[in-house]
Amino acid sequence: MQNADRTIASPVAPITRASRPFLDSRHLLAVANILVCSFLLAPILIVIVTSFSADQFMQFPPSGWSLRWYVEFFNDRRLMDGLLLSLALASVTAVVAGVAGSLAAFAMTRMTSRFGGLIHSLHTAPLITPGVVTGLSMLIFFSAMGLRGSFTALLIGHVVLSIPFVVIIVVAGLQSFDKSIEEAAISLGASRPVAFLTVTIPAVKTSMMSAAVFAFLNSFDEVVVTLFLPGPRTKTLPVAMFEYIQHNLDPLPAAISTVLIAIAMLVVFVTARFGTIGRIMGQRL
Amino acid sequence: MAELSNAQPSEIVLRLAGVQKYFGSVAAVENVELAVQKNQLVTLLGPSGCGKTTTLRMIAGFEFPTAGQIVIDGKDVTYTPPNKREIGIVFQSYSLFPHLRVSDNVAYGLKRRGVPKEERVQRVREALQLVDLGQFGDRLPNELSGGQQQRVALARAIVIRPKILLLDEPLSALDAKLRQRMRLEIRHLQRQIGMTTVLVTHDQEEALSMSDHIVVMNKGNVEQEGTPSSIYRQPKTSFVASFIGETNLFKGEIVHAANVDGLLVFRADCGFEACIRKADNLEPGRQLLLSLRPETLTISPSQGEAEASPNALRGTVAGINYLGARTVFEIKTPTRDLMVSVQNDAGSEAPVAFVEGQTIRLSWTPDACQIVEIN
Ligand SMILES: Nc1ncnc2c1ncn2[C@@H]1O[C@H](COP(=O)(O)OP(=O)(O)OP(=O)(O)O)[C@@H](O)[C@H]1O
Ligand SMILES: [Mg+2]
Repeated sequence: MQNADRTIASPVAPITRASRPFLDSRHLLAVANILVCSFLLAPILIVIVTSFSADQFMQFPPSGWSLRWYVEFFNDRRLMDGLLLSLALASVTAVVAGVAGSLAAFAMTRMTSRFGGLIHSLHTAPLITPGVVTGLSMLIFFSAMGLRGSFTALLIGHVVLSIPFVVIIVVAGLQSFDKSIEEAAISLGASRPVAFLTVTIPAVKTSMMSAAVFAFLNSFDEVVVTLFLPGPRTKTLPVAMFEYIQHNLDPLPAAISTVLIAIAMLVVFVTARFGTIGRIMGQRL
Repeated sequence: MAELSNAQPSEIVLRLAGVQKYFGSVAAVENVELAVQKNQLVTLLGPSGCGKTTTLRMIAGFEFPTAGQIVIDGKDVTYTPPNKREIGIVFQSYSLFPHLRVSDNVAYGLKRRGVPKEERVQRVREALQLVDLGQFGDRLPNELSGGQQQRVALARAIVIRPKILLLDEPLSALDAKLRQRMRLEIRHLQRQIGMTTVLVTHDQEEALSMSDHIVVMNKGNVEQEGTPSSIYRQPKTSFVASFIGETNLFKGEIVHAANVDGLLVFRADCGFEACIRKADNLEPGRQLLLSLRPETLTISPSQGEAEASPNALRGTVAGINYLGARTVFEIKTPTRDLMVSVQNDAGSEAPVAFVEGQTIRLSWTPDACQIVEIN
């Protein structure tokens, strides 16, 4: 690729090269970018490498390679339960938070009330509330409700934590949606609900989809608030892993982490594909 | 659709009576009276914020008037919801459905009306051919140019055979060249299929070139209405005189009749004087405005023999703006500067026969003088 560029550019290359200093801003930008990417990627790479270790203890670099920690993980009853719980919880959270948050976003972009700003802030508040505070308040609240340690409590907690993401993404999508598109549909004979279903929803479908993905991922790796809601039915995979690390020093958590990363990437990849497919299918309606 | 164009010309399709709209305490529309005849193209023309869009939205049903009545085809629709009004609307931003192909965009209104598939396909095809987009049915809106999107929006609005077509600044997002062409195309289409149309614009040229009837609006009120030429040639208010076209406007009064030819003398506050035609309501002493359109003034070399004209004075050329088809001169006179527009001679190599600083003679006929009431 680079070679090809150089060949095409060759007639003017000498002039350009002569006038360009050895280390100009473009080089600096490239170096800075590489550094940032390294800092972002290095921890992930270290975890992935460690997960294939044959060692008894977590150390880097490993002295030998194996898949034994994956085998261990998939044979561990408690961890597998945690994985299934996490997947189920994240999926339900994505649906509930996706729908509730989107409805809230629709309401917020349409209302003319002067409390609109306040309502929007309330919906994004969980984002800035410290996790331990939210966790503690939920512990107190659900204990009072008699829901402590239940899946329902966990679900409500995760939905609350995910709604800010959904609201922010869908509101942004709706703000770029020209309201006159819906009015055009109405003038053509559609009632308001029909115009909403046939025009507005398809137009912001992609934002709603990515909002749900965010909700899924947010729930999938949530630890802090989940820790405050302990119970036999609330040991999600991150929590189980967290507890495991407190008693063991082997590389098993690295294998779990790698699986978590893989699932997150898979979800993003699949929905991105599904998103485009959805758009294409929408066009052919 | 052809039978529509043979309808009685006097039949009134749309009537607005004393329509008013307040947003809170802000008056967007204060009092609008409007009668649109069948198959006519009526333009609401006015500066930004004068309430044109609000008026159009009330006709469409997206806003309900605070007071007044809207009647379509003899039926009071003041509070009828927009999807029950049989109205086609084209927005400034086109507002095509981004996820639907062109043909599905056009078919949308027919689907809502439950038109059977076969007829639907047929009518969509006809509508797309009408706007010259027969080959584009399978495209998505974002695969079209601005002018093409505009025409899809038009096809989508007319395919339902609305009682009234509403156009809100439909051309303002297009470049100058395309805007000119679309003006002609829309006008042609409107005539061809016979479609009662209300157009909103702040572009006076667009209004003059496209309309059967112009309604000039200002601050939520109708300032004047009439045919394009009557609006241009006989502005009733200073607002209309200065908003439509360019003009030289003088404030002053009538002084006593100066001669026997049935002429009066108007003297502006700046000292400028002009002979004007006598009329009943022009009693001396009344404060009035005089409007002199730039193209009604004639420039001639000062030393040439002057034809007899009651209105003539000497001036110097202070500025020359060559505009291709015409040249606009700024003329300095003893009283004040005047704008003069001269049609350029197509054959002439040097359209500008005058140079800056040259002394010239300026003349005009009494008929060129339009008297406008002060209000
Ligand atoms: N929904 C609204 N709420 C409050 N005020 C409004 C609303 N819609 C319009 N207005 C006000 O009413 C007045 C008329 O607005 P309108 O949109 O009808 O003007 P317009 O003639 O279409 O102007 P433009 O040429 O800029 O489009 C403006 O002062 C505007 O600020
Ligand atoms: Mg407007």
